[in-house]
Amino acid sequence: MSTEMKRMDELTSRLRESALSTDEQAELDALLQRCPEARRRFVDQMLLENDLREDEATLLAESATKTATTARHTSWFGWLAWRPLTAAAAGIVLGMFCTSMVFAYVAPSLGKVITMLQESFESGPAPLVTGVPIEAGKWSGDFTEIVGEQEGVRPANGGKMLRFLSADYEGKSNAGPSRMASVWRLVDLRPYRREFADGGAVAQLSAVLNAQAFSQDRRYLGFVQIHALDAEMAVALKEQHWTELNASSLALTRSAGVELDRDPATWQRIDCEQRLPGNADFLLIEIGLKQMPKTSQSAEFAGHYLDDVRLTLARRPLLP
Amino acid sequence: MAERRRILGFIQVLVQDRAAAEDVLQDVSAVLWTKFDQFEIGTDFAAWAMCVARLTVLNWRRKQAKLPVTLCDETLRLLADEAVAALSVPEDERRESLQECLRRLPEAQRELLRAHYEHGEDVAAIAQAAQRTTRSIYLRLEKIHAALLDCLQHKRWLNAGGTL
Repeated sequence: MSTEMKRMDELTSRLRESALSTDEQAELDALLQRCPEARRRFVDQMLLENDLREDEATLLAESATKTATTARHTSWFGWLAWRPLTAAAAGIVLGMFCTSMVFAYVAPSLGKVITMLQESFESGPAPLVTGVPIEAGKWSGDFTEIVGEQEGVRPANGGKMLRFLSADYEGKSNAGPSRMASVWRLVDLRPYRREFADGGAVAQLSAVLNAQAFSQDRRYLGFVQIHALDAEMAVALKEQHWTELNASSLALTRSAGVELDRDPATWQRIDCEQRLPGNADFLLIEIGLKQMPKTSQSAEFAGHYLDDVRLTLARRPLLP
Repeated sequence: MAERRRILGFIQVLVQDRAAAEDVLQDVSAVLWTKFDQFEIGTDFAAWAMCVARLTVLNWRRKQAKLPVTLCDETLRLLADEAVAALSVPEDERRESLQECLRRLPEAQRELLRAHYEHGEDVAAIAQAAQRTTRSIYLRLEKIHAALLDCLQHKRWLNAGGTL
């Protein structure tokens, strides 16, 4: 790369930081005027920024999916790879492969499948609306409600389903616009330890999502995510920022996004599978929706539903 | 949605700020709506919209007390021409190239992109969580962008008939 192109990248980076000095702005202007190659680079920089922001979920999820498909037994999580000391401290080996697309590719289970959670929201308390749960066995997250059939959407299983209401929860400290609505549940793995302590088991999470017809200028991406935690991490959940949670989880598996269609008659399934670390005590599962494109206002969820959540544990051959 | 991305990309090149680009896009949409009877069905809608966007950006710049970057009108004209040329590449080709280039990044780099773009975390928050300086995260992003751009440039060359 030429010196001028390197300088162009530096100036663009400074621009991204909103830290361009007056002299640097003049330098950028002059460089753009005299050098066609610099103009092309600058345009590419701006378009790349736009593409990543505009459609980042699909782009990044798709790229992750394909990586997972080709590297089935990859044993790391990127953030931790970047923070090797944290990873070493956690003493972990992570199995990550995931998504509805990959699901059919997974080898058949060896022996029994244990159902740890089957939820169609027919009974039990309404989900808490206080964000990430601090207690196992209860749904908690953003504002939601349990409803019956509504405006053309019939529950996938039984007579009830969960409706997402907004991308915020009670007492949320960051009041900025949010475009993701999620529900979470902490699942106690300790009663099943015998089944996975040797590293030869996977957790499988699946759910179905649906929506009333929504406008053409909106898209909604459904996703599921599994964090494996030890007891200490589970206790500290409430105090953790999500980036800390991602970094400290024993394993993190996320699905690729499933883009919701506009047909209220069809439920779309999304799923995800994680090889369980032998020292995991809890699973924190998350099921949510993200509105795209990103706007300056919080996302609107005018009739988006979740039903038929299943979390199972199945045996798999031990990794070599 | 693909047309929106192209038009927003064009505006982003000219205003160099995401929030400002979104605002200008709103103005452009309003103008397009009132002038839609002038659009010739069967021609390139995004190309027409970019012509409207050029004028809208110039108006927007005149109204701003402070601009993200002070570039002269001639530079903007050159950038607009360059952006139109760059955006003439079919959207699916651009998208496919970007996906391929993203796949080639190490997972740690993709994870940083996810944190910043997918989860919308600002760089300061990412730096704090990773116990690093904000500057080091920006440098890391600069490196990732450079790698992606080099990859995209190579793909463009191959798609244009280049050979190894």
